[in-house]
Amino acid sequence: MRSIFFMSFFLFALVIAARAPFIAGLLYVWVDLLAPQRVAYGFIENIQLALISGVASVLFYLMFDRKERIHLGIQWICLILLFVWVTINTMTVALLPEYAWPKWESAYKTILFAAFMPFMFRTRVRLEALVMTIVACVGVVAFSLALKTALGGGVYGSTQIWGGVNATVLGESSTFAMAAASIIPFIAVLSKHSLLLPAGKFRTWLAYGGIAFLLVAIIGSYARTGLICVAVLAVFALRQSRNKLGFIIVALVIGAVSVPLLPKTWVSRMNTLQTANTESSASSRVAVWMWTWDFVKEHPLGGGFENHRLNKIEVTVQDSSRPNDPTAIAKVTMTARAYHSIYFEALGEQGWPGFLLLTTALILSLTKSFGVWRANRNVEGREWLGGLAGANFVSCVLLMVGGAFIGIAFSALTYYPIVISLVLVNLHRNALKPEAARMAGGFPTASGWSYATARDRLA
Amino acid sequence: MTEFIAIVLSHMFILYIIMRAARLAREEDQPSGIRIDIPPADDR
Repeated sequence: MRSIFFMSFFLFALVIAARAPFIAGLLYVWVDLLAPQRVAYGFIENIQLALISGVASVLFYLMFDRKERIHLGIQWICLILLFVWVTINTMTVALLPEYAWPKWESAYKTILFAAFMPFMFRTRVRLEALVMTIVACVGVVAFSLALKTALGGGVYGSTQIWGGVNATVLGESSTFAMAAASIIPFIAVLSKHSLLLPAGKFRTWLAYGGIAFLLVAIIGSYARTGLICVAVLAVFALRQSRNKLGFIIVALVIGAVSVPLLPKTWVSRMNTLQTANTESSASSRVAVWMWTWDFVKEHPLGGGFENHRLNKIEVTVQDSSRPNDPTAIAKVTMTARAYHSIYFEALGEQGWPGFLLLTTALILSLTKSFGVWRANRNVEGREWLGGLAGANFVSCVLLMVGGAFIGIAFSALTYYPIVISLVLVNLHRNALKPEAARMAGGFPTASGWSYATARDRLA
Repeated sequence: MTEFIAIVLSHMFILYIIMRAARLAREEDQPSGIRIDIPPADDR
């Protein structure tokens, strides 16, 4: 049933993509985030949806799309250099090539497609469509998880999120929680400024409902990263709020009402944030990060993809024979622990070059988004641009905070804020063109401003 | 079943977005929507 549904959706969208090539790019994002071939059973499992949509994106763009010159920032150069570096690293440095090559296959596609996306998504409509597709894909997962949680079906450790860890990046609880939190700012902005969703009560209530579902789903994920991301989000929401006192009162009331309704298992899970040094999951992460630091001292160019399989760490945990005695601790040796951090993953696997390229791209996305937000937030007619830039800024912050605890350095979720920042900068530059044209002696016509004339005059 | 309902509803939304985006993008690309005026060859 699911196979037929997903396949019908895919084919229908592919037909539309032949006339609007960027739709194929949206399909690639859909496949990347939801991996329908892994969560449905039947014939769809054997169909290379990512390959088809990826090839269609490039082909349709080359064949049918209008080509426009776009500004490619330093983030874009970082992406290309990162692709070059991970390839060289895997060929020459990788200590476990049998594990490194399969991860390289997925990583290079993610990086290259991210570098290609700004060419396709270069107008407001296209950017909105991209953002809404990301929102909807995370929303699909959130919707089902929120319903399970609200109906009491969500239990820590037994609730499978969207096919689980091995199906898609959103199947991992912490990653899902971070992604869910990071789309909330976009929903807030799109509820006010959107070309794709007509203004009205439906749009507003859809946004409110979506945010509520996302918050319930974050609780249902039992991820501590989610709690941290929601806390960061609350700080930004308070900063943006016009009535700060009112916001604090409403937040306190919601907190007071909802805390007694929260599952006890969720509360005890979140309390482990206070005992991170003896909680096995948290303490093993810290131990792996320390191992990575020592490893990079000896291997500044990294150890190649999947080199965490080499680690052997000693972790201090609560003695399971005396669970009620906080002083009873035991030492456990663990091997092949994953990085659980985009920073240490990039550093350990790709060394300082990979780490610097990825962090530079992320920091630049942050600063550029902030710049576009500041330049447009109060400009009449460009509030949408300022709003989307502000949302991407917050989303970047959440990725960089939440990403400190999850290993998604080479998955698409890390690259979407970079892509969106590149598109935003282009839209900002395009928005300034009418002013430049006016200043250069351009004139308005029935179809808009005559930039070409203005440019010619400048020349 | 819960998940399938969520899938269907969410995909109806995605489909709406895709179709509307495709239509609006086509309008953007139509000659009337192009904001760069290049005179016909005869007028140059």
